[in-house]
Amino acid sequence: MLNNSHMSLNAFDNLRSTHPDWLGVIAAIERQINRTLRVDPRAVIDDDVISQQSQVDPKLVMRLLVELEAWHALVRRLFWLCPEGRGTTSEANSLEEFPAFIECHRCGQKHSLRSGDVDVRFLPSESLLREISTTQDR
Amino acid sequence: MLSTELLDALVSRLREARAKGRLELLLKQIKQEQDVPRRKFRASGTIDQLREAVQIAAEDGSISVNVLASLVDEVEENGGQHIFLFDLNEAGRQQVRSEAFKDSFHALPTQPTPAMYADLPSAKRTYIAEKTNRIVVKQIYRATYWEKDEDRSYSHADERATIMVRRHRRAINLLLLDPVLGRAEVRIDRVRGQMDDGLALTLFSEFQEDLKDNFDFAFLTTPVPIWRGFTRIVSDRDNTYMSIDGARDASVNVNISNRRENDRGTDVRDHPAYTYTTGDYVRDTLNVYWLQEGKEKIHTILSRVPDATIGKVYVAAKIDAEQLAYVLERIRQSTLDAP
Repeated sequence: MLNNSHMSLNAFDNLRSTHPDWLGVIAAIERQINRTLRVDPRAVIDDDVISQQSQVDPKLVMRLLVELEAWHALVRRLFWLCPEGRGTTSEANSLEEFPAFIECHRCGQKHSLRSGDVDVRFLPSESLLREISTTQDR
Repeated sequence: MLSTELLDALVSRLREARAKGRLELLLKQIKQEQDVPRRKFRASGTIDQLREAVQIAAEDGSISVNVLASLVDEVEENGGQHIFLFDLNEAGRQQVRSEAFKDSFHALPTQPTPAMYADLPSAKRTYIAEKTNRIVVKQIYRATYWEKDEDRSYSHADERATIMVRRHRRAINLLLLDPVLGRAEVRIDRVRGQMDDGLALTLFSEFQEDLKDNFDFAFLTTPVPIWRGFTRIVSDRDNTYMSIDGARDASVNVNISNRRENDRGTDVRDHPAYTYTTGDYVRDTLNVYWLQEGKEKIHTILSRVPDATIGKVYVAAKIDAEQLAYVLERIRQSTLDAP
């Protein structure tokens, strides 16, 4: 039995103390992220997915995810999507890190960088993953 | 003797193949094996610094021109290719063993020449050599293709123009023959920095035509139907990783891909929604990474050439010869007794 079982995640506790009026929304997002990362620690934290699955306003979800980033629970990540619809061809921390052209592992073709093909999402930080792995499912 | 011209050509080939790491490894090995003083020549640095190191090593006899040329050959011959697998029939085995076949090509020169490693070969040269139980027919030539000039093409509010330019590239094609195992393998240089199936099939067709008088694929070989092994490869969880899959049955087309780049994400086959490992689903292509303990994953795109009874293995990266052989052997094995 782990000592810290049934504990909430630190960054979400910070959110709760900052936004006491949004406890229900924060709990829904926390539940969603927790469940996602328990199943797949390499998953992408996607505001659209969280918004639809937890039925929370998309703008509010994005605002809270950005705050979670400030609490070092999430890391913003840019995903260059294959224009042939084969998923992520490359990822980086900023647009400048992407090359002007890329040979896509997904489809084999060469793609030029277009802002419309880049998605901004989040990844869990190492500390969040560590916390989840040592905390029992809630 | 390693002339400046030959040294420049060989180093240029390594630079072009982004094989600086391989050259560093070779220089490190030489230093270790020959107990070369640490400061004699460097074993790391920029490609220009390594060129200088090779020159110093060559002048004091630490490295021979043949060793350096062998490294270039290995890099040029393994990866960055479209690969076609065949079985030799009985006539094929006999043909490959015959002296007439071996005499029909020039032997690969024992001493490398600048012409063999030229940036843009002036003529198409086809050589033959015997290497560890295999007969290798190697063609060195200048390939041409059309490509969009991204800098000069434009799209304005009221005018668009696409400028296509004809590019020329050094290219290597190989026919590898194993008369004992009854196998043949064609490796076509990918030439461009992307998977261009149309170009690959054109170059393959030209290569077949060039060899036809001495080796007629239609009469001497049977293509290995690699697509018949796709289901088995998908089921081979111990030796493969998949970031994307596309399959179809009589009712639906399915496409599934993970959300991370390269091999950073979860294998799509681990997702609860993935149920496409059975033979009920067919695929025209299979995008798969091959795992080998202690080695880097090898990425391949396997495909069935449309309207042809032939399969193709695309390997974008330059890789170790043994690793490529391992992957091709696995692909061959996956087709054995396949429906």
